[in-house]
Parts: sequence; C-alpha cells; structure tokens
Amino acid sequence: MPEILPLAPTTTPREQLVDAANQASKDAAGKLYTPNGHTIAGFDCSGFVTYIYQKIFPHYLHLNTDAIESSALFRKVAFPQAGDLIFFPTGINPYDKKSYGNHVGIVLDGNTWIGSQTSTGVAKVKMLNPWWSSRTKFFLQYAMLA
Amino acid sequence: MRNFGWTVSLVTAAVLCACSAARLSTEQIYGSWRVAEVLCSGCAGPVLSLKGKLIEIGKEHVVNPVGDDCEGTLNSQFIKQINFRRALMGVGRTWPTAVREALAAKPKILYGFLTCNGVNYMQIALTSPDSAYYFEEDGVTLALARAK
Repeated sequence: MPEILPLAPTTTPREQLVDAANQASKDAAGKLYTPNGHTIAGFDCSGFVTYIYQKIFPHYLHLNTDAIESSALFRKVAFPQAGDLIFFPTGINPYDKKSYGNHVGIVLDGNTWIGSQTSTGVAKVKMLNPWWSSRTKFFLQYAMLA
Repeated sequence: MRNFGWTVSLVTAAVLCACSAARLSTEQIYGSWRVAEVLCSGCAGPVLSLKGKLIEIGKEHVVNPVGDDCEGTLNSQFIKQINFRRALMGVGRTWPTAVREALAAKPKILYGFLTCNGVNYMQIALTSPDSAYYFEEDGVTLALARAK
C-alpha cells in the first residue's frame, strides 16, 4: 500500500504576496525607513514593494516610484485586490497643505495596506487613516496578477 | 568637622546627580496623552486641529485619533534609552528644530517604535514621565503632554 503524502495547501500569488508582506513587517519591526533601502535592515517604499514582489515573482526588477507609475507592467484598476499596489502621486496633501513626493504600498485587504513610510518604517495603514486617505491615490495591478 | 561637611556635600551632589539622570521607563509610555502642540513648519489645514486630541495608549488597545487605532498587543521592546546628542547625528537630524532645541537639555531620552501585533506602529520619544513626541509623516511632530 503506497503511502499517501499530504499535499501542502496551495495558495494564490495574491495570498502569497500578503503572507510575504505580513512576515516582512514582523521581520522589519524596530527598523527605520531607509532611503534607497531594499532589505529587512531598512526599506524605502519602492524597495519594500520590490522585496515582496521578488519573493513571489523572482523576475520582478526593481522599479522606483516614478518607474512604477509609468511602467507598462502595471495598469490602473478601480477595484483593488490583495497584492495590488496603492499609489500616492506627487502632490499637496490637503490634510496639512504640504507637498509630498510619490509613495507606494501593497494592498492587504479592503481595509488595510502596508508599506514603508518615513514615520513608521514598514507598517500597516488603514484605508481610512486620516493622513493617507487625504492624499490623492489610485491602485495598480501587476501584469502577472491580471 | 570640615571632613563631615565635605562628605555631606558629596553625598548631596551624588543624590542630585542620580535624580537628574534617573532612567525613564517604557512603562511610562502607556496612559493618556494630549496633543499639546503640532510642530510642522508651513503646515495648514486639518492637521492643526489635532491640538488637544487625546491619545490613549494601553497595552492591548490604542485609541489614536491622529493615526490608526491598534487592536492587539502593544510592545515597547524597540524603545531604548538613547543619548540625545548621538541621536542628533542619526535619526534626530530629521526632527523639527523646535524638538531638537527642546531635547537639547535632556541627556537621555527613550526613543523608538511601539509595535502593534509585532509590527511598527508609533515612532515616539519619551522625554520625561509627562512629555513625549510623536513623529508623524514627513517631519510633522506632535508634542504630547500627559493627560491627568
């Protein structure tokens, strides 16, 4: 009687992205936002996206925020799903009337996204966060998730 | 007699020294804090209305009208005592001038991240049992005062 091996449950790339982001957020606890950082020792926002995406899509090449915004690998979507990107373009935040550069994070679910912010390093942010929800934003879907 | 006087002076000095250098405790981060001041050069708009808001930092729950609430376990393991002058050469370079000036007289502060469920949540500096700074996005800093 051949032994039947239990199969590991399969997960979708979107679920894997969420799992990877959650794990990285714990591994990066205590670490500051780091300009141009792309390791657990410190991330900037696009460095965090690259780190997570490369875990699931090894051929993903690093794109900075400007490159993400203009890349043909991403397309805007009206209704984001887990693993899509949330993108805050350069502009003035009505919350404090100051101008800010681009920022990018990864959607975890309908209520939360995750990214590396200057104030927190890698942290989860509610969609209704008073600071971030004041800024203009849109969502981007990676071609491999279409 | 003269020796006794010297001894008293030395003991008094030692006690004063010990008191002024008393270590702050991460336990003092917990409790109720009121936003005493919004430190933000050139800011306008709703952010200024954060002054007066109450932030409740509990060990299993944070009510935070400034950012997101935390439902879960708060941990202060990444909050450490740092030398302010050394901090100025690192992370403190980005702190507002008003914060740096206020901290200049504090030889030691507690600084770092509070985590919520193991993930970074608040970047905070405790400067005395009754005063702290909460560092928000892009240099905006909230001066916190213990709410009685």
